[in-house]
Amino acid sequence: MILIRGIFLHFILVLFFACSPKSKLSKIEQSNIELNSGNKEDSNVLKVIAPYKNKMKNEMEEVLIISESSAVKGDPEGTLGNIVSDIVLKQGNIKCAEAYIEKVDICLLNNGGLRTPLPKGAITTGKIFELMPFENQLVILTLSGKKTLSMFNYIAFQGGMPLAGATMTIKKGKATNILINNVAIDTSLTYRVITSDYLSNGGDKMNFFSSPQKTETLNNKIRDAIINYLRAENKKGNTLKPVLDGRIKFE
Amino acid sequence: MDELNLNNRRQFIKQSIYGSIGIIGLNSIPFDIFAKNDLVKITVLHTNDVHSHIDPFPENDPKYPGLGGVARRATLIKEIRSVEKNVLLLDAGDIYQGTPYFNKYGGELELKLMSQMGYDASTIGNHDFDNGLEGIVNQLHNANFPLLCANYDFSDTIMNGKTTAYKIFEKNGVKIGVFGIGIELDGLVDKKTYGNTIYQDPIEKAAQTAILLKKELKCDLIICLSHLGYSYQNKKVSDFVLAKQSRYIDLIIGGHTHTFLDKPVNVRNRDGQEIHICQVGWAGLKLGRVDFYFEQNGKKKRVDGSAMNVVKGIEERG
Repeated sequence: MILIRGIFLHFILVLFFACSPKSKLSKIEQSNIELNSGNKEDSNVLKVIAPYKNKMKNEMEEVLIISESSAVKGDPEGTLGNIVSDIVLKQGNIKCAEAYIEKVDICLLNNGGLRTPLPKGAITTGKIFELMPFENQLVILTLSGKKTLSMFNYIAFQGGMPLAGATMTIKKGKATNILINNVAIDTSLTYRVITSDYLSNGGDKMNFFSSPQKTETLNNKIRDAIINYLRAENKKGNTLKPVLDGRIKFE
Repeated sequence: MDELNLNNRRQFIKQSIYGSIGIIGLNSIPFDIFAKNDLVKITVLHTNDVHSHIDPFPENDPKYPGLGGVARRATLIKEIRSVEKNVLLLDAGDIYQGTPYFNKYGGELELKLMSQMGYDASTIGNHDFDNGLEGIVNQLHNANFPLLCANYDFSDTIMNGKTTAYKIFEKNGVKIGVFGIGIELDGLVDKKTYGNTIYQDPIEKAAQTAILLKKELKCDLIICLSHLGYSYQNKKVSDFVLAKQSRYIDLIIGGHTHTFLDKPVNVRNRDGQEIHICQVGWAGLKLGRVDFYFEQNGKKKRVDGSAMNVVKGIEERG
């Protein structure tokens, strides 16, 4: 054990057993071992990995864009949730314009679906696969104003979610001061929300997404939408700027 | 949903750990009283939620720069096996999904490498359904270890007969029963991927399996590989809830919530006996290790415990 670097914990516990089976458990020790550069890599394992890795290397190592800072999850808003929902909203609206359909107002995603933070610097295709590994598709739901309000209350109940196109304040677990496109929510209107088919099909039990007034699919995976958007922005000479902008606040 | 209430959880974990140290402190006789050869040592190594993280995180990763990696884990496991005689290597599910290795090869490499490292068993996590039941069945030939699950009924699916509830391992005269428990799929996994899989009550199925392993099959050590998640603020069933409700289970190796439990959380089960919950975050950042010592003569011994911090750990995923 002493040979192994990175052991940071060693814990001995006690157990008493009333019954007497053949072998009696008398003591437990526990230690978790962190895997870092101090652990030697097994060359046989590397040999097995190599062909799989090399075959997709060119695709996965493409630099899509440069990010000016890292992006991580946070409550009630996080730089990661903000940047990804902004991208999906913008790319969704590019797709809507191409298809001559009405633009979307709001993007809502879930924190559980954002699987890794983004680093500062080069963002590769492989990193976007890690961020959004699922094959989920983009869908646009047209919701009644009432259901839209339920959505904001759900966001408040969750303590914030990845949201774009709207701002809100969470007061005692309820949504207040809701602005959509900078205008106060009006429950007599309908709103268009872009999200993933996972969430619209009942994932995370977001009941306000069930039986919407209209469902449109864009035949576009969320991951592809992000990759295409980043690549296009990079071509225009733009960088990625993840920020906190107070779109969701606690009162 | 994965990372709800981490602050509460941290606080809770802290309290549990201090609580357990307090209990240990009551026992005053040092454990040196054991003559070493009286004891059989069983070393349980564990991972969970590796999520296709084959390579280490890159050096520019904001949270885990340069950490993890299967090739390193393989060496570490080999080193431990060269020192320890009785090693069990287990995984608590969500082997799949998280890097392009899964998108491109559907889990082939993950299972091949686990087989190469000598995994003894795994359970099934919600993301292991991501390519449908076909995505499991079609890759099973790459796994030389069983998938254990006691509470998914696959009998009306193509998975029928491809999994078992438990497996018994015998190490140096110690009988170890290992079984798996899966999380509720509705609302978490797309119905079209899991098809006619029936989720059964995990508490009930765990109880039935534990009784079978203890009373009929005479296991000395019972380990539950669980993908329920460590704990939740609401009443959702979790490892914590299962532990309190259980009897005969000694250790729950958990997953799903990506919780870094740097020490096992000790819970009193329904008989007032201690059960331990372990979980090592996700992505293969750490290898969990629990050593059990068995007396072969059946006499009661009192043991003293201590806690040491050797090297600084890494932060919980926030």
